[in-house]
Amino acid sequence: MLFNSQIFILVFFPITIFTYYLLPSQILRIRCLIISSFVFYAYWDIRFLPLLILSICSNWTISIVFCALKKNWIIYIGIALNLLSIGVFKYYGFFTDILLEFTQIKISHSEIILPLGISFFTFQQISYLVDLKRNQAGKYKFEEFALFITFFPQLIAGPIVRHNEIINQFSKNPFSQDMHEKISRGIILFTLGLGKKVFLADEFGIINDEGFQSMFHGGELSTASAWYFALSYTLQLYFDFSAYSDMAIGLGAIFGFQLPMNFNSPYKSSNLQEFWRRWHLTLSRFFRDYLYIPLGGSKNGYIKYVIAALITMTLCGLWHGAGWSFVLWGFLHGCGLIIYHLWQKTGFKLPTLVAWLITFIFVVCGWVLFKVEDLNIAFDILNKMFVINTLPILRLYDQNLMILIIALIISIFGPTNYQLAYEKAKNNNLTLYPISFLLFVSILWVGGEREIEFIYFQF
Amino acid sequence: MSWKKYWIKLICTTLIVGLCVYSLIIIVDPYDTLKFSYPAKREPIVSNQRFSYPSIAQKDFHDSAIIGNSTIRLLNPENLNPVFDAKFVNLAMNSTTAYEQYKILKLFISSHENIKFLMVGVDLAWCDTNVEPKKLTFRPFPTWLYDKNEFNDYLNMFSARGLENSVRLIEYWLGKREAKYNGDGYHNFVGDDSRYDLQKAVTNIYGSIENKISFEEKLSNKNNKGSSSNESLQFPVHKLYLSKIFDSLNDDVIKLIVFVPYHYRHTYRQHENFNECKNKLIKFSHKYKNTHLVDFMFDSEITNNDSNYWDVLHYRIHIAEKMPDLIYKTFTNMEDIENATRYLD
Repeated sequence: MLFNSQIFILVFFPITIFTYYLLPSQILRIRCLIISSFVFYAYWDIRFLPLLILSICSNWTISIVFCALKKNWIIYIGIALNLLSIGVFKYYGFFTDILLEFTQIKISHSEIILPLGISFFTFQQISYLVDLKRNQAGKYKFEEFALFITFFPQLIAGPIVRHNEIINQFSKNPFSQDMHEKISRGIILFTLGLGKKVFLADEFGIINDEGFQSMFHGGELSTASAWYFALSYTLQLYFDFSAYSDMAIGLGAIFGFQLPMNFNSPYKSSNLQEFWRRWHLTLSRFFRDYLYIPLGGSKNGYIKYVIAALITMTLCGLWHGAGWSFVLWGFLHGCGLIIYHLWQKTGFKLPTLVAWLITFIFVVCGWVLFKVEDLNIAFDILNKMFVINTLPILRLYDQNLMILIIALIISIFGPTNYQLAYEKAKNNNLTLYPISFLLFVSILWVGGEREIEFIYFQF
Repeated sequence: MSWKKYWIKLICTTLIVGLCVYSLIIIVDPYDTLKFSYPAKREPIVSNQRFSYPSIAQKDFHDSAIIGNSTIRLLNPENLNPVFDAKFVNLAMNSTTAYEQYKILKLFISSHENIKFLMVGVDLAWCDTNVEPKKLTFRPFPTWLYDKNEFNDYLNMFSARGLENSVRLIEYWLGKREAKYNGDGYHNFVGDDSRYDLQKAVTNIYGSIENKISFEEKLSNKNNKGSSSNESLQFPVHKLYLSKIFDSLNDDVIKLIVFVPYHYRHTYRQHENFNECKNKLIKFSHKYKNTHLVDFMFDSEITNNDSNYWDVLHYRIHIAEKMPDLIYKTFTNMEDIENATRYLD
């Protein structure tokens, strides 16, 4: 069930929220959320549900056994099982293709379907197991653990929540003094996210999908069109994923829970390190704490730093998708971070505008690899972006150029939805009516089977 | 205002506005599929035929149907009806996939008991060799309008498109807008024939005069007539959709498979595909009684004459006017009409 669908907004969510607040005790509320999260997940494909339930039960059992025996190998088995499940469901096809390429051994993989959100819920569970081993986590009741994994606002595409920032909230009574403010701000954030998804992300999606189709069906690609294509995807990806995060955080707030922020105007960044501190914060945090620092981080000599950065970012690329373009994208970001690290050591500072421009162009080029999984086509587009030709801009782009420029300005200079909802929004009619109108037109807009999936669902 | 009052007012405002708009849409009923709507004359006012035709397909005053693409859309039921002694509805829609054609025809079949003729305009959609043929195009396709379940129509009416089309229908009622299609689905989408420009058509067909010359030179070579085919080609759409349609029809329904008159330059480009498609459909037709194949898709006086065409896909209205007679004579006599049609058996 998509957040941007009428079935979710007008049926599923109202039923869940009313039941939640009508129930007399917190344990019943938790159970209500677990059941509704299962319904939410199974709505896509009921075949996904057994894996999710099995994954939760096995990880919780491992945590209980570890707490009783205190043997590290139990955690290692748990982590291995999680990696095995993601390996089979997400990467099996990729690895068998590599095997075929190098050894000519063909293994069939057509029957395996990718369960939604597997990358997200597996990572949450791995982080919990690692924290257990590090004595940074305690034993949780089954219901609490199950809700930590399944809580539907963040189940499919994050934010990747850590146990210690959410589970302790589950036991708190939602009828607190600031309940109505939380609900109001949650609705505002959800609505802003919905509007961003429906009127910005999806519109840019249509533009660059049509552009992509026309390019590869005989249309010669001009330099201007190549940039247009890359920029519109850059905006689509940001608006789409940050909209999802806004909606997830907003929904969490309506239940009285605070989910971590996931985006902080990433396209404002004037270096790559800053970009990763603003883009998909909870994933960056996961890779930093559970891979990059254990590999040595930046405090243990230059060689270790280079290896840690390259491995971390390459695996970050692979996490996004089982394909060489994602691996290359991650590797390039690793290289970019290393170059920035070296640059810092020279002590030389570029003017902010130049630094921003270099960072932004690097990020945009990276997204081309993200969008176009065929490396040959991706390189062709990148080539067209930098080898200037004078072919005219595609006509279809021409009409949307102004929208692209405005959206670009908003993404770079504008406040985030989180800031709008939590810092700027006041409880008066000046915000109430525009938000109400945006909510109404967004719901109307997605009606009649018009809802479009979020890009990050594929990861 | 307190935060409590704020969110309650926000939700109530949104719900009240939403309910008003929803009520308007279901009372107006822009797709003419709801029972409890305002009783007024409704005509197809939505330009996307995928929204307009489900209601036409369910009207019971037709007994015969045409499905296909824009390549058969110019067949006017008013010309077909006297020749075939039937009441045709033209359900052909622009740029449809085989799946979309199957869906609209399924709706027609489920709404009519005594069907006389079914005409399938075969072009690339029915000669698609993809193992997993594309079901939909980028054009919105409202699957909920293609069943007999009125309940899901109510659920899907609350949409921006629903509101927009309701306003259009109100404008039609006020006399400020005309219907997009006739009640029998026909619409002359190529426009007024008096604005036809042969030079422009030649450019549309060949791209340049040099291409035209080189194409004619190619055709003058006897070995280059475009008659070869490729036996290895398969057309999964026949099994996936066409057989389902034919299986659901009575034996006494006359099923006409009409290979559309593309300009020959277009047919020639993919002649191996089309020729094999014909071979496979001939075999296919042997499984069903009262099934006839009429072929316009070959080098003939119709298809190699540029002045008959707007572009490679779309012929002019005088060709469309001739076609009912040609089709009828070809299948009733079960023989070719020289330089116009072939009867495939």
